[in-house]
Amino acid sequence: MAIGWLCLLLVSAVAAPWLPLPFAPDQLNLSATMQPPGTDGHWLGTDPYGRDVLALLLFGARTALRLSLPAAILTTILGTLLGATAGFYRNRPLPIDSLVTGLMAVISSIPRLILVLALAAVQPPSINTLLMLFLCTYWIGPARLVRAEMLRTRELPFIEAARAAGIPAHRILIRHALPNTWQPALAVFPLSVASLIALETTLSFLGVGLPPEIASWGRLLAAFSIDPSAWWLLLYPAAILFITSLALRQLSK
Amino acid sequence: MVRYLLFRLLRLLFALWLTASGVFLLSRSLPADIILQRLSVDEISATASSLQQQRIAEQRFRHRLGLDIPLFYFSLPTAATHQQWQWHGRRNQYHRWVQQLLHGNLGRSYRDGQPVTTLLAAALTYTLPLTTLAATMSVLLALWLATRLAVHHQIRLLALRLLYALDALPLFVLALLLLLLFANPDMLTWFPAYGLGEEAELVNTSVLERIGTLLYYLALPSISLILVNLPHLVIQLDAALQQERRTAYAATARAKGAPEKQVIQHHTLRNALLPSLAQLTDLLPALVAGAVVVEVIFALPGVGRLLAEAAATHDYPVIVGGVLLTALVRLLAQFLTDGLYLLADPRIRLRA
Repeated sequence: MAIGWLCLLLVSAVAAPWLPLPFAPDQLNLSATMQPPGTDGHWLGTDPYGRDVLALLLFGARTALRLSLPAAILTTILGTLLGATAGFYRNRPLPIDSLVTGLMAVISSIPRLILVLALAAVQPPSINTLLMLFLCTYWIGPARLVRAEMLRTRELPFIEAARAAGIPAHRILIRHALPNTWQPALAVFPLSVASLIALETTLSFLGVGLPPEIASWGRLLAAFSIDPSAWWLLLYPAAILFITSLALRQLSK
Repeated sequence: MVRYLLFRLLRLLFALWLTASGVFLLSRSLPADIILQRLSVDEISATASSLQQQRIAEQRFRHRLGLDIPLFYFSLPTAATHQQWQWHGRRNQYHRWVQQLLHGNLGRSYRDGQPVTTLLAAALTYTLPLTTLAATMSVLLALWLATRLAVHHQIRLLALRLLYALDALPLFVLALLLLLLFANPDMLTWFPAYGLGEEAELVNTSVLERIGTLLYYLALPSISLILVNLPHLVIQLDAALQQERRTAYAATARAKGAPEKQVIQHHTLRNALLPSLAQLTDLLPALVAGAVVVEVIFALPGVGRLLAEAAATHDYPVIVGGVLLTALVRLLAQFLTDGLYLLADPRIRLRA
């Protein structure tokens, strides 16, 4: 069921521009603002600018996935590589381990939301900047897991055997040690997608990070906080967020 | 022990310096024109009429903000301006900033010219009650709930599943849902939707009444903070308790005839607390970060809202100040946790 929902979300997000929607997501209609669901062909109502909520939801899913999927994939790869290198070589010949653990300590010394908020504010808002920021702050999760796993693996007999056979260190790392250590990073992959989606919507809700013309679930929820009687602006995006997050968690179990 | 603590402190201070410098340098590395454009268009065009005068006014504005000198000790060679490596000496923005910082001066807000320290101090008077309330309540609730769940097995799975689902909701969605349910004229109006009440109403009231009003207004914000932090705390503590109840000493206690409740309270809880204490280090900073979201939603004039507004309006001195403050909270949380470890585990005390 979890996989089914995620597939549905993915397909509708990818196919959003070609779906036969009655309204475009950027189509303003100032004469039909804040319409409750079901009026004038707006199945899920309209927002304070008269945009169709259904279209905004679909295109918001597009934004959320466009940002969180590449960010999660890249951070998993980067974190795995850094964590594995740090755990495998330790501090010889270069102090890689101290460097990586120090960097992790620096990045985790400040809550992620505040760090990203501060950094997003000093950069011009765009999807790519946000992607870079997520990449810089999220690699520590997989890196920490893979490093711990690597510290365990590097002491195992088969690595010692490979060393004794005279295989160069970098080859042992890539061919022998890495395939045995990257599973924990893969296991938390859905969790990091969920947390990235939550962070993206939170940032959009606060009005930081993404340019305002890009549809996002966070912006819809921000519109609700202006007018708390418009329950449809809260309920639909909140339900989608909730189900997506639950499905991703289920997947990582 | 002391050496270990000192090492930790030094590493945290280093991390603090690195992050603050990073944010500062990044914020200033934007072309000054963008900053000027956003902030001073009105000010400059109001005082100057001709182009010449306008340029002079702009120059003066730059000088006042200290944006007319080099950013760092040296400048990198860039292809665009054909610059070579250049050494600027101590006359640069970063050096001045650090100097001011060491004197406790965080600069002035770009938006209204007030000192950042004043702004932060004023905002802290609203954030501190909120976060302290949320922190104590969530810790106490987590303790209570975890010990209850350990005794009553029949509700344990259901409660854990509920907490698990609760964890899937982002904080701002949770806060908005609470707002929709409990502070809405169409549903229930048990709590106020925003603000901290009218100052004028509070002039002639007693201290107790003031605290009552404050609690009334802080109810929804702190409930959302508590609900968001509770799942982590309870799930971790519950796992630790489950592990401890299978140990030999717990079996001994049960064999002596102690009821399950007493075994938990007197024997296993203290040992189960140790791994959970590490979470406290993250709880306080998480509450500060959560305060950003909650204060924006419930319109409380605290640090979080100050930070969010500064981020939205590119008010860099305030952002840097806020980051420094959060890192400081993290530092405090670290020391609090270390102190609690000493309290909870006599073995650590003896070693120290």
